[in-house]
Amino acid sequence: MSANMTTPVGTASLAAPASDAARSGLQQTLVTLVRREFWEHRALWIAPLATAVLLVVFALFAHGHTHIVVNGGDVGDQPFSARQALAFSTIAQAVVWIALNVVMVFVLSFYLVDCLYAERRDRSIYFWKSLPVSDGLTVASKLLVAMVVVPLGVWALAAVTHVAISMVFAAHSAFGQLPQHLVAWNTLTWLRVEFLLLIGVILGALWYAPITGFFLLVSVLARRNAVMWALGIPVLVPLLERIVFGSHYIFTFILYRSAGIWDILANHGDLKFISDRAAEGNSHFNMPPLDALLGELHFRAAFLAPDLWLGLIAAAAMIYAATRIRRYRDDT
Amino acid sequence: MTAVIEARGLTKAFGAQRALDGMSFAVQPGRIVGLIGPNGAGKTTALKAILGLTSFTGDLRVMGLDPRSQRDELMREVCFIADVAVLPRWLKVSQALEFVAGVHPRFDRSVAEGFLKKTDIHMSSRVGQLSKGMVTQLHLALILAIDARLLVLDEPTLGLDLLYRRSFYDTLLNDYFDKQRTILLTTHQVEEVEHLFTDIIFINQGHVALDSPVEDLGSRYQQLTVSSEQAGAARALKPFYEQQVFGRVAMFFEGRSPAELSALGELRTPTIADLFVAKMQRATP
Repeated sequence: MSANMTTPVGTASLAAPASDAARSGLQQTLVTLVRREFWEHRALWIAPLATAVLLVVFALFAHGHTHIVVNGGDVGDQPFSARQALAFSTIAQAVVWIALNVVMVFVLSFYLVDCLYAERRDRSIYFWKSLPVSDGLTVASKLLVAMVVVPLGVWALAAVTHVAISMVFAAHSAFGQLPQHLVAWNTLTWLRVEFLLLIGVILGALWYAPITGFFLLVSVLARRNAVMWALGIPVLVPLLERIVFGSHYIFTFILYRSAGIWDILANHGDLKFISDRAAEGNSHFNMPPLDALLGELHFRAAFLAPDLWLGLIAAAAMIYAATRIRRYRDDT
Repeated sequence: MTAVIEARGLTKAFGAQRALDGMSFAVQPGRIVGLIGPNGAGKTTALKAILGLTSFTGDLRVMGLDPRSQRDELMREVCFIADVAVLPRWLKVSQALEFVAGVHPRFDRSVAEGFLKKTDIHMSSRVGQLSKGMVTQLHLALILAIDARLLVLDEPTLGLDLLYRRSFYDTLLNDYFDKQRTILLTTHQVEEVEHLFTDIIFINQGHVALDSPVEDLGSRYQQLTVSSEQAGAARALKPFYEQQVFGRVAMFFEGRSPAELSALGELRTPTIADLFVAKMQRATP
């Protein structure tokens, strides 16, 4: 070792594999920690998967005809044009993603509130802490699950589900249970919509980071009934404000934190082009395929929104606090 | 060799109550140390301080590291079982092995599997399906397969029947312990494990009441059993504790020469359990 100290080349060649080993060790630890989360919280993968299967099963039993009502006017049974069919398909693509995301939001909320609470409740925290895993890495693994692994997994699952549903619809259409021309497929359009949804995944993960941080903080602080604290605070605090001061600033703020970014993305609701086009002509269903949104949404404004970044700073503070509290929490 | 654990003035207060009140002690490598004290004496708090699980004041070095600021490094060298029921119920046996293998660079999976083969534990079982004794066996198999320098056990056999307790300590002594390792153990069942210890530390009300290698106890402490006629003469030599035993009196002395005492009655080295009772009764009148 001391011989190597005098030769910089030797030191460098020794140091490189060591840091490689440390990196692969860290990577392996993180992968193990993430897998652990899915062992404990099986709902994380079972619930979205079950929902996806249910959607495909529903598609299997779908039958009927297109009966379009636009602006209250019944336009009756009409064969879809290729463009209409494509628009229909992209809407289905987004609906599948949204449906799975609704399930995901429920599952992830319960997961986040439980993940630092359950280990204290069953005292298993002493087992986890007997292993060389830092509190920072532990909390990081839970964030990775909630902000990256599950949202991306659900996004991929939604894509597969939509392909499956499209195939089922195509088969139905071929056998006459659904009207001809209902199903259209355009790989480029499909990919463009998936890309759009992926940006939605990223934007959502960033925008909801403060809520993630809040749930983690409740999880690490609650002595009992973590779920009640997590739901009770956002319900009771605005109610208290209303009763005591008669104002509703906190309620407005919570509302804004739950949907505000989509408003910015949609340029404060200026997406009339969809309804305008849908109402064009002789009030046919005339909506463009969703990938047309790529040119209309305000990604730049959304990603540069100061509130997004302020929220991330608040989230970082709450996550750091949760990590520190887990380090010295001692209530068993 | 430098001490594995070195504590000076270890203090921890919960409000007005001091769980640790300036405790000082050292644990040398290659020893099996019994940390013994009545309920609420501060045993668990001391262990938590050593393992970096709680804040404290004073000076404490474990394997030369500060458990407050260097806990993550420390946990590579140190293993502990805090209490029997800490493995989560949802964990499968196979997952437990996979997890420890994934996060601990010094875990030898084949060693753990070897231990488990000697039990009735199945790889596909969940912890929730195992009996209390089996959970402890599983935990022990995981911990003993880690090549750690210091093993800390806090009441590891609490709530287990005699057979499990016996096999727990047999495994610990025969399959694990060697001169490179140090074991720090707390237990209520002192009689059962006193043959195991190389050193004992008695603690009471956050203080160290006694800290000694077991082999030195004989030269420091004497238990003299005398008839009631001799009791007065024996009492003059200032025993620190005495108790009635079948019409005779057992007296405990510290630092008396055996020659002085043996003339008065039956002399022997007290057992750790008897010494503990004697020391604790004196400390809490």
